[in-house]
Formats: sequence, C-alpha cells, structure tokens
Amino acid sequence: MVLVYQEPLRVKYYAKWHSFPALFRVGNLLSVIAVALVTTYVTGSMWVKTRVSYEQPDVVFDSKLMMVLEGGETGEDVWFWSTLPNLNRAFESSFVSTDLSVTQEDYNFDGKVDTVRIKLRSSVGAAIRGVKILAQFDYKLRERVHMNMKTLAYVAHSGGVPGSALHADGSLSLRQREPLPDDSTRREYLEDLLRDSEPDGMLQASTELGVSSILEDYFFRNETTVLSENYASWEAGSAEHSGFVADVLVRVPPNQALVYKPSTIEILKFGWIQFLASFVVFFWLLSYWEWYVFHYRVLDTRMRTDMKSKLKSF
Amino acid sequence: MARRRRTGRQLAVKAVAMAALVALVARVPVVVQAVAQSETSVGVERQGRRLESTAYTSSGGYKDFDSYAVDYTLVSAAPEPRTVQVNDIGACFCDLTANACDSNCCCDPDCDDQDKALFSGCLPESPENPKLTYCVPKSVVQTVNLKSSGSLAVVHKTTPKKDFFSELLCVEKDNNPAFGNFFMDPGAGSSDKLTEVLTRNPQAQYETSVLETQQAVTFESSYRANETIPVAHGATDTPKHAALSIPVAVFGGKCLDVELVGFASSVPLNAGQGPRKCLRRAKQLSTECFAGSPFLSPAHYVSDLKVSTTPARSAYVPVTITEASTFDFATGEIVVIAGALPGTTYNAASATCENVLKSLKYVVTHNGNGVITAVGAEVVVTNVAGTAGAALEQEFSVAFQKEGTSQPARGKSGNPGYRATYPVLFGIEETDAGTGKTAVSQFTEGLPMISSDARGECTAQYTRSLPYGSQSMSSCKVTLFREQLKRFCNKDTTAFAAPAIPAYCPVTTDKTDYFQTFFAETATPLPIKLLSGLFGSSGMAGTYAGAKFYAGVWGDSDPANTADWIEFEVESLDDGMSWNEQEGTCSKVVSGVQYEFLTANVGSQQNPQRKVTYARVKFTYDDWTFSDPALNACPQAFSVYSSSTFVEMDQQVDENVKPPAPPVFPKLPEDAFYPFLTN
Repeated sequence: MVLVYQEPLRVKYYAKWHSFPALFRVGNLLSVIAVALVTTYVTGSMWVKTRVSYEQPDVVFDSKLMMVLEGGETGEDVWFWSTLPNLNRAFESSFVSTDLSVTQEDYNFDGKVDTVRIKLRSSVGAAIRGVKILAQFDYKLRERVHMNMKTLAYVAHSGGVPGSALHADGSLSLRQREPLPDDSTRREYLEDLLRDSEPDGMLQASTELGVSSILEDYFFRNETTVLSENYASWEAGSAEHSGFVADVLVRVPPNQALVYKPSTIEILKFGWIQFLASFVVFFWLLSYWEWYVFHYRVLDTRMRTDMKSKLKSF
Repeated sequence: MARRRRTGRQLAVKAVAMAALVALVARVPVVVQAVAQSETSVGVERQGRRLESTAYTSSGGYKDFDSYAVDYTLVSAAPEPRTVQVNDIGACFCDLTANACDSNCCCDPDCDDQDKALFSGCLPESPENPKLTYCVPKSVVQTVNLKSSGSLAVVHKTTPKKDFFSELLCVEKDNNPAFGNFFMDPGAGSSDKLTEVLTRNPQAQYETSVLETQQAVTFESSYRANETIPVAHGATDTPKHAALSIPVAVFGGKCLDVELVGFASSVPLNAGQGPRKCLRRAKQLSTECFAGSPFLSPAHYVSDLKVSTTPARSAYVPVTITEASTFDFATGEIVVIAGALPGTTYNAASATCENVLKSLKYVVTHNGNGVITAVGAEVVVTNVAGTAGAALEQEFSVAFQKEGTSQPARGKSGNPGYRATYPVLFGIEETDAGTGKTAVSQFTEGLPMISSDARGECTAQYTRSLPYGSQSMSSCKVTLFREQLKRFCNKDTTAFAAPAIPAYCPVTTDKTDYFQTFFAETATPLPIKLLSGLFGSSGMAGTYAGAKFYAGVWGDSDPANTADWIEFEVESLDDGMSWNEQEGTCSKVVSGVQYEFLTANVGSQQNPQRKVTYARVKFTYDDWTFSDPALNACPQAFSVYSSSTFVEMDQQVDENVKPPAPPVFPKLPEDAFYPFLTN
C-alpha cells in the first residue's frame, strides 16, 4: 500500500477570554513581535537612512571659463583670460589672446551630453610652466532629486619644465556632503560661480576673484562637482612660437551615484522586509514552545479533537 | 606535520591540566643541540677569505675578470654529482659564504665553538614552513623549570592569559606520516625544453631587435594603398632604405621625422585634421644656417630628394618646386616668389637666417595604377632673426592626386551631415563672366574667425577656422596709445608717430604702424578689416567686402550648386564711435563679430545628419576706455572678439513617421520583471 493522501487532524484547546492560557497565547504573540522588532533593530540597518540611485546628469557648458597661465622668463609672470568681458577688462595688462572652442557631443543620441571638449589656444609668446582652468557647467539631475545647479570643473597643472600643451582627461563627478531627500527639488545653487560682475551691477570684491577663493566658496556647498580621475599629460616645449594649448576632455559619467534619503514609505518597506524575516524565525520557534505547553497540558484548557466520538468507539 | 631542524632547540609543550588555571604543568622534551666539535681545524686562513671587491685591471684593451684561486688538493679526480635529500635540502639558508663562518648563522658548518661564542643570536635557518598551532605557544609559558635530563618540566603559571582559553582544544600530538610535499631533483635541462617553455611564455623575454616586427620589403611594380614610399637622398640614385616621411611633433613640440607617408593617403587625412606642425630649434643660428642645412633649408626635403616611382626602387622622380613663396612674420603676409627659390643663408648684418623652410606641401601625382609620376612641392620660406638660439614652427602636409584630374581634392566636413569639430564650410559668391552662372568660391580653411599672432595681437593674416558645433570664442589685442585711440575714434586719419614706450609700461607693442595703416581707412569697422572685408558691405575696405557670403548647408555642400548653401544674414552695422576726452573713452567701438547658427537633425535618430538651416552674423560693441591716467604715456591693449554659437532647432523626433498602434494592455515599467530578464 502507498500513501495516496493525508490530512492533519487538529486538536483544539479552549479557554475563557480572561483565563491565563488565553493571556499566555496573546502574550506569546506580542512577545514574538517584540523580539523580532528588537532583533531587527539591534542588528542594525532596520531603517534605511540613505540609498544610492544612479543616473546620467544633464551637463551643459555654461559659456563661462577662466584661465590663468603662469610662466615667463623668470616663471613669475601670470596671464589671465576668461569669457567674462568685465574681468578681461579689469586684468587687461595681463590679458592673453586666446581661442576657445567647446564641443559637446552626445554619442548615444539620448539627448544628454556625454563629453565636453574644451580646447584653448593662447598666444602668450612666452614660456608656460603652469595653467589653471575653471569652467562652469549647468548641471541637472531629474530622477530621484530634481536638481539644477551651476558647478565647476577645475584643472590645474604645473610642470617643472616649460610646456607647450596640457591634455587633461577626467570625468565630472558629483560630490555630496549630505544626502538629499528623495523627490526633493534643489535649486539653491543657481548663482554663477564665475561672475563677471555682481548681479545688481555693483562691483565684486577683488578677494573673491582669485581661483583659491572661488574654489573655497564652492567647496562649502553641499553638492559640488569635481573633475575626478583626471589624467593630465603635460607636453614639454615652448609656447613662445605656437602658443599654449590646453585641451580638456570632460566626460559625463553615465552612472552618476546620488545618495538620497529615502521617503517614509521606502524606509517602511525595507524595515518590513527585515522584520518579517526575523519574525518568521521566532514565530516558528514559538510554535514549538506553544505546542509543548498545550500538548502536555501545562496550562488548564479544554481540549477537543477533530475526530468524531464515533470513531472512538472502535 | 614534522618539523626537522639540524640545529636549534625544539620545544614542544603539552598542556596536561587544562582546567588548572593557576599552575600549568608541561612536559618539555629537550633536544640537546649537537654541536660538531671537530671543526676546530677551520683555520684563520679560511676565515680570512671573505668575498673581496673585484679589482679592475685590463690588458690589451680587454678586461681581466678577477677569479678565485683553485686549491687542487681539494679537487676530486672523479667528480660526482651532488646527492640531494629532498626533505632536507635548503635547511640552512643563512650560510652564504664558503670557507668562512657567517656571523650569527648557527647552522653554518664553517663556524666553530669560538665563533659561536661571539654570536649575538641565531639568524633564521630556513623559511617558516606552514605549521599547526600546538597546545601552548611559548609566550604563554612564563616559567619553565627544566630538569637537567630534560625529560620533564614543571611550568608555573599564576595568571594565564585570556588567549590561553582559546587554545583549550589544540593539537597535542602530531602523527602525520607524511613529511610534506617536495620537488624531486629533475637533473639537467635541455635545449628543447627551454625552447618549449619559452614559446609558452613569450612575455618572459624582452624584444631588443626590430627584425621580427619589420615589414617584408616588397619589390612589386605598383604601390598599394598606404604602402610606404621609398626615397633616395643626395645627387645619385643609390637606393637607400629610407621611406618618404614628414616631421611631426609627438611627445613634445620638437620636429621628428617619424610620420611615414602612405601611398594615396594624404596628410592631413581629412578636413577635421590640420597640417602637421612642429618646432624646429637651432642652438646656434649663425652656424646652423647655411644652404645645405638639413632642417632649416628646404633643400633637404626638396632638391636633395628623389621619390621611387614604384616599390621596386627601379626608377626615381625628382621633387620639383611648383610654388615658392615667402612669409613675413611681422605682418603674416605670404608673397609668391617669381623666380627660383633663393638659398638659405645667414645675414650677419641683420643677424637673420634668410629663406628658412616654414611650410612644405608635397603634391604626389600618380597614374591611377599605383605608379608615381611626379612629385611637386609647395614651399614657403621665411626669415628668422636671432644670433644664438632660435626656434621656428614648421608645417608639413602631403596631398595625392591622380593624373588628369582637373579638380583638386576637396575636404568634406561630413557626408552629408556635418561632423562635430570639422570646419564650417564657407565661401563667397562668384559669377562666371562668360556664362553668367554663379557658384560658390569655397574657402579651403572654412569659415574664418579672428585670431591672434604669436604675441596675441590682431592682424588680418591670422585667422582660424570655426569648428562645427562648437561654442567658440577667439580674441586678439589691439594695442593703442591714448592719442591713437582718440584719432581712431574720431576717424582722424592724420599721421601718428608712435612715441617711445617708457620702461614702466605693463604693455608694449611694435604694431603701432601696422594699426595706423589699418586706421587710414575709416569706413570699415575693425573686425571686418581683420577678416579681410568678410561681412562688409560694398564700399568697405578688404578683399571680400560687398560679396555674398555663404555657409554650407551640409558638410559636403557642392560649390558648383549654390542651392547647397545658404546666405549669411549680416545684421546692420552701427558704426557711430564717439570720443569722450574727459573719460578717455571711445564709446560704441565695433569690437567683434558673432556667428550664430541654427542647426537641425535629419534622418534616423541613431544616425542623425546635422545641417545648418540658418546663419547670421552680428556685430558686438564695446566702450574702449583708457583706464589709468597715470599710464597715459603707455599703450593699452583692447580686445577684439569673435565668437560662435550653434543651437538646435526644436524638432519632433518621430516627425513624418506613423506612430505605432496604442497598446492593448497598459504599459508596465521597464524594470517590472527585472529579475527574470537578467541573464
């Protein structure tokens, strides 16, 4: 003979609402919930406080760029060039004629720029030993956080030998000091970082013009971008005859990590998953404990089985 | 696992009463170190033979290598190979000197008791083998009361360390019968084995010869595409293993003859590349500048060179100069020389090297069947000033053309849509007097932007081409004295003599006269003059003033078809400069041009072709102020800008394409079934 079908027979235990066995049963359930909750909480990460989402930012060159060249016979001369006419006017004695071409390319035709190539050629007529370039970008994120801000890419290189060209290649990465709330809108940093003049037409303080002070102010912000993984190649040579060429390739990362604070429902969802995982284990253990208590009649209950009394008579 | 040592103490401690935490009793079998006493005969003489520094002597020009003397009393009449005990070999690796004691090497058989008495400790004798952790490490045992027999020991331990408890379950006895894994001595190798292993590991060797990587020399009767072109240098036709090459700058700016020219592949290959530029530097110009100078004179690249008609090197054609011109550094002007190309000479009076090679373009003509029939050279020479060091930027290019083709090769900027960074096609309208038909006279360098000379100053000769799709900006300096600015502003054409520039001035210039000749004509604004009349109306100065200006709609716009081109809209000009003496300001100077393009995409979204749908030129205005009254005697630089912007037209992506039928079921998000779609 083979077992073709089976069904469990239940044994039912009854007690009054106000009796100790009823209290015991309810207390057990509550304690298992409490133990599961405590275990989940104590083992950590019950409430997911930050999560990471990935998206390609929408980066567009903002037509604002500033360059400082250092060198000359003694290495102490400094030249300045920018796309900001007022600044060029202010520094006209150190102004250097420069050709700039910025080409933004979208290789996968997804409507987002993948690379920004900044090519500068300065007719400086002197030996160049160092270069600093600040370029402003318009940076947008759309998926988790609706963010629009002005950011900077900074390239600095100074060679021990006079150079004719600097080739730099890096990716524009987002840096965050604090995570941003999910589904929030950030439009705090829409003010120009490279300012030609103050928005109200007033003069700006000369102390805020230097590269170091621009960078210092910039890095106090919560969200910034930096040209990371920057590989620079300095070409030794003379910029006296053919000019100094700076060729900066800014790559936009296709998977930019954004750290955000998840919404309440997302936190609860991950909390629930963890709670349930430990609750199931404790509930299974509890079922053995309860079976022991009721089966061996440790508590006073009235017992009935599914078996009909008729069968007993056999 | 057994550990075998020739010397040294072996200590094995067995924890007997694990629970007894206060006192620990251990059995410590002690192996008494057997010290060979018989080596006392190792004399002072041997001790003295330490490794000595090699004395360098030479005889007959060859080096004599110092060698050790052989003591033939120790030489065996019948040499025997070494017998190797694989489980014992390499047990004393600190003994590195033969016939002498290595200090602190306790297992060195050359060390006698006397030596060992001076030792400050024992060096490691063999690398640590992997071992099991026994019951109690040495560090836990604090006091060991060793009996002289060494058979039993009592270890007193008052407070055991915490880590003691973690070793309650430990290896008390090792009865592993195997000693471990050993390599057997394979004996001598063989040539075949070495070759076989080397073939499997080609990366283990350095390549120090180019023979294996060199291309096979062909002696065919015709060239194939991109095949190197043999050349012969000098007066005779003696074939040399040289190939036609042009100098390029690779790691720095310096010219190196490394770019081999391949048959039928022009340099630059397309409109997106420029000619090859590199820097030629002379350490002593006065001695390096002569008629046959290898790098400064064009002779090396032109008259001394013969090009093989076929790869077989059977016949050669000379390189003939088809066009020679001179380049003036000061003005940037290029003037064609009517007669023969003058030789390179040094003019001591003016300290100038005259007729130095500035730019060279080879035009190689072939018959279409892979045979070179003629090689022409377009040479530009210039004068370089300097007594000691001097540098010059040279420019090289190569063009191939088929015999009998009337039209020269014309670089496209895309096919048909523009490629990013390729030049924007530009030309002016030209009408044939005979037929009255109009065409576009296309500029080879594309749409020019105002650029600057090596010192950053404005001249009409220095322009650069505008790359398609790039937000470009160029600037140059116009350095003017206050009086000169005033006259320029008032359109006063009276002669202006440049005063001497005081030494304290931050800005200097030697272009005062040049600008003054520019200002002699007042009807044309400065940016139009710097563009040689481009975008100027008729009546203005400049070669191209009053023409119709066209931009190519497509990257391959045909100059013979004006419908492939669109006319630039030139915004009206307001040339109303006015001078304010008190403020030292010239208001509303036309200070630049701005090109604006409206572009569009055509075709598949995966391969959109970019075209220009509209082109406009605007003029920008500025106030030029002499800022510092203290520097009124100095000239001041003012900037002239040219800039460009490309914006895309608003377009529906799926224009003219029938949309698909709406879905029956609502569309699920892309990642709804993500786990089932991966892998």
